[in-house]
Parts: sequence; structure tokens; C-alpha cells
Amino acid sequence: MAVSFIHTADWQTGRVFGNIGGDAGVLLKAQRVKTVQRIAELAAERDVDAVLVAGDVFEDNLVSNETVHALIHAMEGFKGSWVLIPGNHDPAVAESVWHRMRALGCPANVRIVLEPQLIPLADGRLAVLPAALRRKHEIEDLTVTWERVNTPAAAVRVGLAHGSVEGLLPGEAEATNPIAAHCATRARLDYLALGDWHGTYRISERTWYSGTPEPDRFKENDAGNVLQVTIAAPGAEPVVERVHVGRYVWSAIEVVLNGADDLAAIDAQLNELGEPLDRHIALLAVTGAVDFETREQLDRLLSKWRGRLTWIGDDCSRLVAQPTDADLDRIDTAGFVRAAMERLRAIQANPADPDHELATGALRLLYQIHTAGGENQ
Amino acid sequence: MIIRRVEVQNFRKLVEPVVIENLPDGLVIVLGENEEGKSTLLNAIRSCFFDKHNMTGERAQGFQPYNSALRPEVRVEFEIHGQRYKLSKAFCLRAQAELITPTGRLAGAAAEEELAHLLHFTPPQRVRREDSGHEHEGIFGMFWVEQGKSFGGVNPTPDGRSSIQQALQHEVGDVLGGKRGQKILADVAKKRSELLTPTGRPTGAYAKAADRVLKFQEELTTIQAALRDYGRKLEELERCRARQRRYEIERTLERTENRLQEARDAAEKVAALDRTAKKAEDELAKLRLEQSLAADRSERRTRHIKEIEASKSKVAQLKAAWDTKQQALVEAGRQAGGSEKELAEAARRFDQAASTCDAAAAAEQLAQVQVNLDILLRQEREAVQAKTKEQKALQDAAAIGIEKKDVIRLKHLHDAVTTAQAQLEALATNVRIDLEPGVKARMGRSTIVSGVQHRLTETTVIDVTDCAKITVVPGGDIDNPRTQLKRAQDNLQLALNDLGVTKLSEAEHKQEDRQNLLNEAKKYQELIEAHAPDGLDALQSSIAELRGRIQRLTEKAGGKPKAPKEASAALKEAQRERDSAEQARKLAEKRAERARKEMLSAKAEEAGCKASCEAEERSLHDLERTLVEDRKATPDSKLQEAVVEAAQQVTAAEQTAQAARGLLNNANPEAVTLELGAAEDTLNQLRKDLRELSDRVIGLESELRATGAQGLGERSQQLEADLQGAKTAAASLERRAKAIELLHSVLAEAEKSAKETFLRPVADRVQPYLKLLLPGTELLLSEEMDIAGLRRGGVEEQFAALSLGTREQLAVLTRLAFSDLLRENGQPAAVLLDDAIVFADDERFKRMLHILRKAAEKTQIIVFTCHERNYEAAGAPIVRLAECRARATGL
Repeated sequence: MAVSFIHTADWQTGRVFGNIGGDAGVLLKAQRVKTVQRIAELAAERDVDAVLVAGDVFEDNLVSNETVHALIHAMEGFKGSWVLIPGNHDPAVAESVWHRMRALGCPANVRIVLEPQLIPLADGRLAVLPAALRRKHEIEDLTVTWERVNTPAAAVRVGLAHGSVEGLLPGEAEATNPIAAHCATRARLDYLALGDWHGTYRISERTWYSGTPEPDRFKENDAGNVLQVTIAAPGAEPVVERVHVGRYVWSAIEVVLNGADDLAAIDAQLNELGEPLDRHIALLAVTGAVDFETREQLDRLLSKWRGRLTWIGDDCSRLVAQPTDADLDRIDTAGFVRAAMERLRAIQANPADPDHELATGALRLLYQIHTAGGENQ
Repeated sequence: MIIRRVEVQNFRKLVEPVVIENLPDGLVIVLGENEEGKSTLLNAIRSCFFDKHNMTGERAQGFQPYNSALRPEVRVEFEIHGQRYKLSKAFCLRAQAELITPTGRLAGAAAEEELAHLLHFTPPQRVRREDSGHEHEGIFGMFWVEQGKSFGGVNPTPDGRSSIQQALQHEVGDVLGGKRGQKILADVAKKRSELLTPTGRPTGAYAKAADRVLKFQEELTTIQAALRDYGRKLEELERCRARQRRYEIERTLERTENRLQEARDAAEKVAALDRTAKKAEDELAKLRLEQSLAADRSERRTRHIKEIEASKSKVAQLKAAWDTKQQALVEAGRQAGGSEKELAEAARRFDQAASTCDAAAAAEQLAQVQVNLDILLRQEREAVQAKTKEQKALQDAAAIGIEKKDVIRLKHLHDAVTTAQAQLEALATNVRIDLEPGVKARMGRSTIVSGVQHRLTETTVIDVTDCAKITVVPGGDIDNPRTQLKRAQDNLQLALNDLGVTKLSEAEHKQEDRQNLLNEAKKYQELIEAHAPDGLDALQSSIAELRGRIQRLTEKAGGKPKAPKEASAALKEAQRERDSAEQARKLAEKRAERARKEMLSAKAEEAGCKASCEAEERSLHDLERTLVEDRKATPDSKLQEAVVEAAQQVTAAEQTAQAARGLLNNANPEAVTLELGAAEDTLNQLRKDLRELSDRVIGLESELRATGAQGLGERSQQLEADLQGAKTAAASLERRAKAIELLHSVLAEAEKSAKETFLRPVADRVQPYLKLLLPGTELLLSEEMDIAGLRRGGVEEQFAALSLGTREQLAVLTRLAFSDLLRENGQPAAVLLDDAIVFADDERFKRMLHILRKAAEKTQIIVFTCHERNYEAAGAPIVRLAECRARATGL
């Protein structure tokens, strides 16, 4: 009889989104628990034998008891076996969040594994070999002992670990908590369920990173999934199904703005995010050079999209806004105000002037003040 | 504008018609007495131009003469740009307005509208019913100055200000920016004030953002400290548990307990050996004590016997010594007797020598006293002789009796005679008789020598022999001097008689003799004092005393006085003998004393020897008695046997003890004890360590659990996010604040610069006038086109702080400058001043006249005044109001 389980990892419950301010940050934090709830529902729907969580269940060992309680509650939707191991965010140190979780009343179907041991599940059809991190950064590969562990011949042999597969992850991955690339082969595993890499990633047919079930950064790395793994029998090739459970879509959008015409293109690009718009977290990086009027229009466009999306941030550090004569004429064509504007332009044009960077801001402020007050004149 | 003609009738106090005609260009002085209607005339002109003809109410009624219902009428003829205009208005009754222009005639409201257009003023929106100032009068409100208002500044009317601004803009362009610029500046200042205080410190949202950064930083620091503490405790817990595990794995406690048990067993064995050795030692000690006791008893017996022998020998020695001491005592007694005798003899000799010495001393004194007596006796003799001579001299002096004062008195009397004589002779009659040869004559009894002059003081008869007897009677007042001479001569004679002398020189000689005698007596007195300083009686008393002493000393010396040298030699000899005798006596005393001490010593020694001898004899007796008793109890042989037996027992015990000690040493008791101590301490320490470790683990687990439950990790992340957000917001606000500050400062600077540029044309036109009035000063104008103050010597003075006169003068010349500016821009305006220069001193007034003349070269200036004399020097046409009235009435 085939064995089926859900492989997930990197829940990082309790994570705070420092770069996402306001209500959006609160929503994102709360969503991580809700997504676990969704996983529990999925597991129950698909009647899997177990849910294996490959570390970083918590953002930190020092998350509050409330956060732990919330997570326990979120897992109640699946009454089958949960196997949880610590990762580098929540290592099994002397008094870790795991000890508290146990003390706070963790249900019996939730197995917290802090020591190397063999976990038999599904009436012996599934044998899980967990490698629990006892510190943030393990120097040794904790999976090396698995090859000496024997499991029943009828049981599907699955490894559960958290770390970096040496040499097979994209360049920016951290090289801590090493796991040998041939671990699955060496330990005679039918499947190696890994955590740490936040995007869903296939190392080999028997070795997978599930990625985080709820995206948490602007990165095109296929986050927001869990993997349903089905193995017909020991030695059989696992069937891995990617199931999207994440709510929020994180998008980093780069646009060029060189005139008022480009604003429509940006508006259209944002429209392309698609409904429902309140599931989107977007970061708009704008480059180019515009006049003040266009710059103000961009602000108005961004204001509109802030009301529509859960969160939209902007990076206009590479957008140059320079006043044109027309901009300045709108403010005044003569008089001392015009003289002041010309003075500011001269300061702006002189890199040796200590105020030359401020001068653009001063001119823009003048423009804004005039625009705000002048419309009523 | 140039006003050429004015006609007023029934206007306030100007009831009779007044016509001023042919007003010229330039400066014109309109002269009138006080209350003659100068100001009314100005008001009439003003009303003609600016008041609606059909106005009603108090203002209109106010134009009518007091308590009358006449029809106020005003007509003005003027030129603008060379074109002639005639304006006439009548108020209250049959109100009408008429304006005749070069192109036609206008009446009523049309006339007034055309007039407003022509003169650039804004007519009142409503018919003016009361005096509301001159705000609607355009530039003329500025240039037509009423009496007593000129020192208040220019106070431009809105239209006037607008006209000036237009003129300025025409000259310098639109540099101010108008309301639009002011609004922008105000908006920027408001934005600035939202973020910065006037001194540039953060405020509002900017200050709050900075505060938020600080707040989050502080909170984060606290949380991070707690996290570090958590980390440290976590590490400590790991270490503690590691140690616990190591103890457990290595069975450290069990091994330590076993070690202690082994150490205790070894110690018990050593203790048993120690007890055996100690028992053998104790036995040996006891036998040695007994051996010692036996030896002691034997030694005591031997010593007893020896003591008896020694005592016997000592008794014999003591008896021999006692005999010797008895003999020595006898000899000492004899020696002492001899010494006492020698002492008595020496004392007797000394007494004798002392007595002889005393007599020699008395004799020596006697000889000295005798010498002294001889001296005194000689002095007494000398003194007595001097005394006798002194008395003789004094007696002789007393016998002469003429003293110095007597001689002085005689001299005075003699001088009086001489003086009287001279006075008499001065009055004498001079007679000289020249006799013919052979003729003889006599004067009294004297023969007269021919040719000799005679001074005659009394009646004198000159007998010329055989020829004549001539009686000469001195004339004049000669009797009185003669009487005085006689009285003086009598007084002198009487005094000479009293002193027993015939003339003054005799008295002087006698007085000199007397003085010599007195001097001699004084010398004798001095001689007496030399021999007997204390007086003769005292000298004699001393002599008597010395004689008494001589008698007493003679008795003591036992003989007559000797010569002093002899007596002194005898005394020295006697003293030497006495000293010799005294030394002998002292020697004898020492010897006697020594003999006495020796005898006492011999006595004591003899008594001591006797007592010692007797005591030793008693001791010997006791020793012999006790020996007999002891031997009776234990014979000497028995004692010897006991000594031998005890020695044998000690030897055997020593061998036993040595064997036991050997066994004990072989067991190394020190090492066993050290090991036992170390094992006990190790176990105790280990148990303590385990206990503490367990307590610490429980404590740390509890603390870490409690800290973990607080959610510090989430809080820390949240605070970091908040801090980052706050920093970003603060940085953004800081950039914004700096940009606003820059914007504000550039705008303010530009505005200031613009104002300066804007007002420059006015300043340029004021300056030539100001140079005439107050050289070296600069006028400061406000944005409102009014006078702000004066800059003098680089110091700015507020307009209000200037004197009334200066304010008045500045206000006039500023109007002149405005007038110049407007005229140059096509808006000529006549300047009408109603006694506008009243506070100037003579010099200033003179300068102001120059200024008015200068300004009047281009502008008509009409001055209404009652001060004719002041304006005579202006060189301007003078229009007299009275003449105008008379002329008009005549018309």
C-alpha cells in the first residue's frame, strides 16, 4: 500500500515583516498561521499518512506563547501524524520553543523530534529519520548517521532534515548546516524532505525542498507551495505534487518613467497583477527622469494603488525629477519667487554647493506648495 | 496737474466769494491770516474733485456756512498734459457737477466718472455721508496735506500706493511678485513652522519622528540586552547540563564514594597499629619511671651520706674562721683608739692656728684703718685753715660796702649832670672879644685872650681894662637848664657823700676791691669743699668713728698697730698655718672614720662566723639523725638491688615498643590520612557541585522558560522594524525640513532683495532732497510705501523715534519724491501743503524752502500759510487771500 505524506517547511511562525509597514505587516504575520491551518485542511482533505515539517517551524526560539498556541490550534485540522523538527531559526537548544510547545499542551499526534531517533508511522509503512538541529549552525552533516540505522524492509524510508545541500543550491543560499548531495543515496532513502530554501526546489527525484508555504519576500523562487509525496513502495520513485497554499503574491516590478505617457503603462502593469488585488504585495522600482508635474502624477498613481493592493512600496531613488521651465512658470514667471527658483536652480546645478542636493527637494516642495495652494487661486 | 484758478462761495466760513486766479507753475504761496479760511479753501478744492455733488447728510450739511442754508459752490480750473479743464460743483441745494474738457462738457455723475478716470482715483461706492478720510482720493490724498497732519508720515492711500507701485514696476519691472509671491512665501513659512522652530530646531512631526527613533532605540536596547542575557543563560544551561551528563557518564559520584571507603579502611588499619605502638610506648614509659624512682632513692641515700661528711668538714672550717675573726676584731679596736687620739690632737692644733689667724686679720685691718685716719686728719687741718681765710676775706669785703649797683647808680647820676651841662651850654651866649694890641681885659678873675670865644651861661662882667666894664646877661630860657644842672649836681654829690667817696672813679675802684675779696672767699670755699665734700662736721664725725674702730681692733689684735705691710705679711703667714692645721685635722678625721668602720666590720664578721658555725652544727646533727632513721627502714643494699632489677625491665619494654613502631611506619599513616582527607573533600565538593548544578539548571530552565514565553524574539523583530521605519521617516522629514529651510531662506532673501530693488527708484528721487536737508543720511522706506526711518551714520532710527520737525520735513520731501516719480510716469499731481512745515527751526526751514523750490521746477506746489515772513525768502509768487476775497466781492 502506497504511502502519502505532505512535505512542508519554513513556516517561520511569528515572523515580523519589518520592510512592510502598517496594517499589511500585521496581516502578513497573521497569515503564516492561517496558511498552516490551510495545510492541515489540505492534509485532511487528501487523507495523507503524515505531514512532515522540515524545520524552521518558528521564526525564533523566543516567539511568544500566544504564537505557539496559535500554531497548535492551526494544526488541529489534521488529526493524523505531524512530525516537526527544529531548524536553524528554532534549533533544539537547552530551553527552546519546542520545550515550551510541549509544556503548553502539544497534541499527541504532533511529534516534536529533538533527538536522532527512528519515527515509525502509518502502521510501520513509513519510517522517518529526522535530523534535528541542536544549534543554529551545525558544522557536521547530521544525516551521516542515517546509513547505520536500519528500518523495516516494508517501510518507506524517508529522511527529514533542515540545511543546505552542498553545491546544488543557487549561489545566494547559505552554506550552513550542510547536507551531502548524495545523502538520499547514502542513507538508502526513498525520499529526503528538506527545509531551509524558501522556494520549491527539486534537488533530485528523491530529494526536494518544499519551500515556505507562505511567500515572504520579493523573489521569483516559486514559494507558497507544499509538496504531496506519494511513494508506492520502498524503492519506488516518489510522485511529488506541488500544491499552492500561499495567500499573498509578492511582486517586484521595475518600470521606466520618462514622461506622462509612461504613467499609463505603469498603471496597466499594476492592473496585470490580477484579482483579487488584496492578495498582492508589490514593490515598484521606478527609474528614469521626469518633470515635476509627472512626478506628482506618479505620486497620485501610487496613492491610488495603495488603496487597492494590500501593500505597495516604491523605490524612486533612481528616478530623477527635475523642474522644467514650464514647471517653474506654473509657479511664477516673475517677482522674487521666480528669482528664488532661479537661485535654487543655480544651487542645484553646482555640485560644489553643499545644498545642491537639497535644492531639487526645495524646488519640488515649492512646486507642491504652489500646486496645493495655487489650485485654489 | 496744474491748478490755475479756484473759486469758492458759501463753503463753510468762506461765505463771501473767494477767487484765486492765474496760479502759475512752480511754487505758489497762498497767504491768509489765522481763521481766514486757508484750510477751508483746501477742503473746498478737495470736495470739488472727490466728493459726489449729490451727497447728503451731515457731511454735505457741513459744507454750508454755520447756521445757514446757502448753496456751497466750488469751481476749479486745472491743466493736465497741457489740456485745460473746468470743474464746478454745487452741494446741498440744487446740487450739480460740471466738467468742461477740451473735448466737451459733462454734467452730473458722468462728469464725476470722467474726473475719476482722469485723475486715477476710485470714487466712493456710495454717496459719502460723512468724513471717511481720503482713502478714495488716489494720489492726491497723499499730496494734498492738511494742517497738523504732515508729521504723521506719508500714509499713502490705496490708489496712491497702487499708482506708486505701478510707477515703480514701470521702472524696475515686476520684482515683488505681488500677492501670489506673498502667499507662496507665507505657505512656505507655514510649512517650515510645521517642522522647524523659528531658531531652526525640529518641531511637530519632525521632532516627534526623532523622539520615536530614540524611543524605539531605547526599547530595542533593552530588549537586546534581555536577549543577550537569554543567550548567556542558555549557554550556561548547556554547560551545566554538559557537566551533569559528564558526571553521569563517568560515574563520578560512585567512584568518589568508593575511593573514600578504601581510604577509610586503610585509615582504620593504621589506627590499630598506632594503638598497639602507643600501648608499648606507655608501658615503656611506666617502667622507665619506676627505674628512675629506684635510681633516685639510691642516689638520695649516697648524697645523704656525702652531705654529712661535707657538713662535718664545713663545721671545722667555720670554727677556724671564727677564731680568725675574733682576733681581727681586737686589732681593729686598737687601731680605732689610736686614730681617735690623733684626731683630737689635730683639732686642737687647728683651733690654735685659727685663733692666731683671726688676731692677724684684726691687726691687718687696724693698720689699714690707721692709714685712713691719718688722711682724714690731714684733710681736716686743710679745711680748717681755708675756713679761716674765707672768713677774713668776707669780713674785708663787707668793710668796703660799695656794691656794683651803687656804682651803677652813681654813673646814672653822673650822666644826668653831663646831660644838663650840655643842654645849658647849648643855650650859652657866645662872646668873642678881639682886643686891640695892648688892651687887656678880664672876665671875672680870668684874663681874656683876644680872639677867643667864650660861652657864657650866667651873667658875666667883662672888665676891659681901663676902658669899660661890660656885663653880659645870657638871654632866652636858660634858667631852667641851669636849675636842672644844679639839681643833678646836688644829687650826685649827695650820693657820693652816702658812699663816702668824692668822685665816681673812687667809688668804682672800691667796688672792684670788694669784688676781688669776694672772689677770694669763694676760692677758699671751694678748697673746703675739696677737703670735706660732706662738710667739716661730717669729716670730723668720720674721724671719730675711725678712732672707735682702732680701739676695738687694737683689743682684738692684742697690740699696737703695725705698719700695713707688716700686718699683711703676718696675716698671710697665720692663714697658711691655719690651712695646714685644717688639712691635718681632716686627714685625722678620715683615718678615725676608717678605723671605726673597720672595727664595725670586724664585729659583724665575727658575729656572722659565729652564727654560721652554730647553724652548720645544727644541720649536721639533723642529717646524722635522719640517716640513722632511713637505714633502719631500708638498708643501703636493698636500694642497690632495686636499681638493677628496674634496668632489666626497661630493656625488655624498649624492644617491644620498637617492634610496634616499625609496623606502624611500614603502613605509611601520613599518606593514609592525606588520602582520607582528599577523598572526603572530593566527595563533599562533588556533592556540593552536583547540588548547585542541579539548582542552577532548575533555575536557568525556569528563567529561560519565563523569558521565552515573553516573545522577545518577535518583540525584537518588531522593534527593529519600527526603528527602521522611524529612522526612515525621520530621515525623510529631515530631508524635507532641510529642503524647506533652504527654500524659505532663498525665498526670504529673494524677497528682501526684490524689495530693495523695488524701492530703489523712490530712494533715488528722495536722496537729492535729503542731501539738502540732512546730508549724509539715507531714507528707509517700508513695503507699504511709507517712511520706515532714517539711516544716519550707519545706524537706523525708527521714524516714530525722530523729532516732530524731522518727521514733518521727511514726510514732505518723500511726497515730493513720489510726485516726481509719478510725474515721470505720466501722472502729474500738484502738491498742496497747508502749513506743512511748522516745526522747523530757521536753518531747516531755509533748507526746506530750497527743497520746495527745487521740486517746484517740475511740479506745481501750492503752500497755504499764515507765516508771510517765513516765505518771503522763497522768491515765489504770493497770493493774499484777503485781496482775492476783496477782488471777488468787487466782481
